[in-house]
Amino acid sequence: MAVKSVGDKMLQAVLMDEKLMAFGEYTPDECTSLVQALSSDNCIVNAVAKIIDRGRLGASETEIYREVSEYLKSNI
Amino acid sequence: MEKLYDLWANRNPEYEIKYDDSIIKTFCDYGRGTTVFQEARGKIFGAGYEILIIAFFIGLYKNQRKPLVGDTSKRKVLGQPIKFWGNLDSKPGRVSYSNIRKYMFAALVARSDVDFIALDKGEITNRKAVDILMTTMEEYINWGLDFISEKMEDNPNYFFKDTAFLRVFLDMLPKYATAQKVDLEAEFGDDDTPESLD
Amino acid sequence: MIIKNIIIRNFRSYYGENSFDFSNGLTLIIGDNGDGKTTFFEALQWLFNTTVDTPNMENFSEMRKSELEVGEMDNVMVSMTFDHNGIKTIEKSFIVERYGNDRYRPLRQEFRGYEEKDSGRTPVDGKILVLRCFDAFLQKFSMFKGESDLNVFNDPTALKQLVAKFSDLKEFDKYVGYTEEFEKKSNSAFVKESKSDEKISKQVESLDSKLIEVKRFLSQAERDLKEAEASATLFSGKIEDLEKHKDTSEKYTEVKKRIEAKKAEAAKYRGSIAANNFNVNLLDKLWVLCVFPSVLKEFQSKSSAFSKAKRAQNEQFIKEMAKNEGKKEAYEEITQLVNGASRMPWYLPGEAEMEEMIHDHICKVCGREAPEGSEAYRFMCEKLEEHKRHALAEAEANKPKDEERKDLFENNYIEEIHSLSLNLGGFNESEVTGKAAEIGGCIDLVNMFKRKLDEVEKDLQEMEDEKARILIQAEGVSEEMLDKSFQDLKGYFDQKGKAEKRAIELEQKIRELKGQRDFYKEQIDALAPGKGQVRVYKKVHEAFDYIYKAFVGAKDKNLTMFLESLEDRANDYLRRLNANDFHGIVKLIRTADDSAVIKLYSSNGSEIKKPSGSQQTTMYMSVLFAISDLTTLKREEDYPLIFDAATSSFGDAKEDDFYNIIDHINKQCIIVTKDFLDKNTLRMADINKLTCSVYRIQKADGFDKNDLSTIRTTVVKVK
Repeated sequence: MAVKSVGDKMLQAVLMDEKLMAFGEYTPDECTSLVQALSSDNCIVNAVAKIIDRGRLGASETEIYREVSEYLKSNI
Repeated sequence: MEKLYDLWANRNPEYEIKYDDSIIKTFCDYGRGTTVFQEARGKIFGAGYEILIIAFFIGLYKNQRKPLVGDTSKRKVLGQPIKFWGNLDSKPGRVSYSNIRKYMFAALVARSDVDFIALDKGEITNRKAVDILMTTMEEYINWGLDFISEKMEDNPNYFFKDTAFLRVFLDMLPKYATAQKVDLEAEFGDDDTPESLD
Repeated sequence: MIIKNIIIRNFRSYYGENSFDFSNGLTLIIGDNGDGKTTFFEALQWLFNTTVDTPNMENFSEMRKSELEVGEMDNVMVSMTFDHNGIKTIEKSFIVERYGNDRYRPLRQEFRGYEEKDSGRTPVDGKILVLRCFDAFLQKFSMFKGESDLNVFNDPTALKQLVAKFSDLKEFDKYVGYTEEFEKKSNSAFVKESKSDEKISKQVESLDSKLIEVKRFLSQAERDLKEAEASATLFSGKIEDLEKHKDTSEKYTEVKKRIEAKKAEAAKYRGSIAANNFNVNLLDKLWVLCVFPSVLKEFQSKSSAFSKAKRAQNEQFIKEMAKNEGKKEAYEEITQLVNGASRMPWYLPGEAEMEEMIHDHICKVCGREAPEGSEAYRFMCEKLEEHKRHALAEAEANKPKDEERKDLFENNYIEEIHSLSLNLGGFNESEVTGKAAEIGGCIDLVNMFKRKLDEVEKDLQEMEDEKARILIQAEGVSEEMLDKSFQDLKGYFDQKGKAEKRAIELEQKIRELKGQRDFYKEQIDALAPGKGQVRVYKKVHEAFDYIYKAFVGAKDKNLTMFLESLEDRANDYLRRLNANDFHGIVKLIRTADDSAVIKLYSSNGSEIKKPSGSQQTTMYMSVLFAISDLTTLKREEDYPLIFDAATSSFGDAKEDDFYNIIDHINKQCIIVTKDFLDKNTLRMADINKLTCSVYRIQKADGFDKNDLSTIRTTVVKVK
């Protein structure tokens, strides 16, 4: 298994939140890697992945918000 | 008949002016009237005659005399005749030592060539006898002052150590010259190189 | 990074060039208070400071300064050679020139660096090299100047910095910030959107505005709570300090008392010494007479001789007088006869016989006839005349003086002298003969006082040292602190009580507000929007809300996990450092403001509130080693630990174990310590048990603590 990157670890830490998991209706094995999560069908998993990824890429807060809220509006 | 001692005590020995600055004023609180604050001025002794007494004993013990210079303009006396020496009238920290005069007189009698027989017979005047005693005194003092002066030329700081004058006398004691000398120097911090014990 | 060598030249007390070489393991630098330990750190801090460019004259060795002639120059320099992907050197220096009598000026400061490359030694800007290899962050967790510095979490931002540098997940702050914004924005969007839905718009608006208000109160209350908690902690800390320092304070007061007593003793001796003015005593105590005995004898014998002579002469005189009395009578007899006949000496013919001879005209001596007119007759007549004349003359000559001298001596000066001689002799003579001994006794007494004074002053110095030690062990607490009266304690209790009460009230209030907030939220959630779009916005907001909370939780967990792993590592080190001794654990406890405190617990779980000096040092060192490990892991590069273990508080025979363990931990350490010193002497037996290298820094002898130019630190490699 590939070495976990920082993004992966962060993703896991956030997605393991019980309440979020209940709300988003996803399972732990969907939360293993950032790459995987970015193409997940589950919009919560995907949204969190987007936030982390875009953040790491240096996007601004407004940019991330716009993208993620748009995504959520369409997919929730 | 007045006593010879009293006649002597009324006198005032002469000394050479050249020692005024280098010795009298250096070691004594002299020149502006003796003050209570002798220590504040840092002088070792009080009245000027005190250093003359020290010089006298130095000359006496070493048994060396030095005649005064002939030119009277080069000589002077201090303010107080011998009879007042050592009285001190309650200077703080000091004690009267008027007894010393007797000893000085006795020493002068011992070392002067006064023919007392002739004196008692009236063949010489008491004035003449006292003159002889005074000459002896002045010559001892003069030699003593010279001694002090030479020591200071060698080492200007010599007499400013707090045991310097005492040591001059202790060194004349045979016992001290050998045994105790080392202790004194070690204890009192000598910057001169210590003389050998031999 | 491994430090190879440090050179300190003319920096404060480090006069001249002083060099330290370091091994890869532990190097001990042993010195006592005032020997130059703190200056060692200050030299390094000066070296690493990249912000101040102007030279400071105060850093120049006073001793070197006092030696400079006008026109002469020398430099201050601190340099460090280290291995950090190759051998490098950083060197900071400035020159000082004396250009006048009391005039000195520092010349431009230089900050140089060198790197060993294949091409040789290349110069580099010193500042850049420092920033590259040993930046401020590393210095913060690598160099600890004072003992209180060892408690690294005293700085509340320290943990954040550590997390930021070393935790995998250091950007949580950023994301928490973002997601919080997202939640707010999405909420506003929903509220705005819901205005178009008549079914719920009014309720949304009113609920939302209430919610906003509650949230505001809640924020405020949470801030207030933080304040109250901080306040309670502060006063709690002060109380703890005071109580902790109660012992110290008592010890301190006691030492102060002893110092006062010693000072009084010293003053007493000084007074006794000063009271003996040896020069003045020559006169006042007649010490000048110590050589007088022989002169006294001369005087006495002279006096005696004169007295004898006078007596003898007087006796002679009286005898003469008596003799004269007899002669007078004899004279009178003779003069009577001369007018008539005179007595002749028996050996000559008497006058009568002569006249008989003349009459008879014959010499009855020789028998010759002497007729009148003859020569013989004339001769006899002349002879008779001559005889008469002669007899008279002799009588005249022996005539006793008419004017009788009553006394031979008219003055009594010899008596006066003799009386003086008696006066000076007898009982009084001992006054003179005893002088030499009297002087000797006095000198001995003064010497004894001086020796005693010396001892007292040594004792005083030790007590001052002890006082200083107490202060240091009180972890940077000032003297004023220790002098504080315990009135303050009561004040602190009150304040703490107030703060705690307020905290409880606030907690209650926060619970209520949270309740309200949740209530309004539920209300809003319960609203079923008529419009689909509004529903979407609502859901989106919900999602963001959960996401935000999830990030908050993750951040929190991250911090906890970081602390836990740090704690584990620290305990690992603690066990190693304590070897077989103390069995306890270090706990890193989170505090309200996202920082932590380091506490020591015994193995049965109870907190050790007053750990001993050595326990504390070990505890902090374990944490520092743990942190240092993180640096190694993260940067794939090790960094040395340099610190001042000021507490010489290990029990004897434990120190060498302790230091030997450190020497074998795979980490470079430079520890400055007072251990192994016994009243200023090294305990070589114990030092020889060490495996590490050892330096001794020491104030050179012959200094005057009031004159900086006499103070210098000597550096000696002991092992």
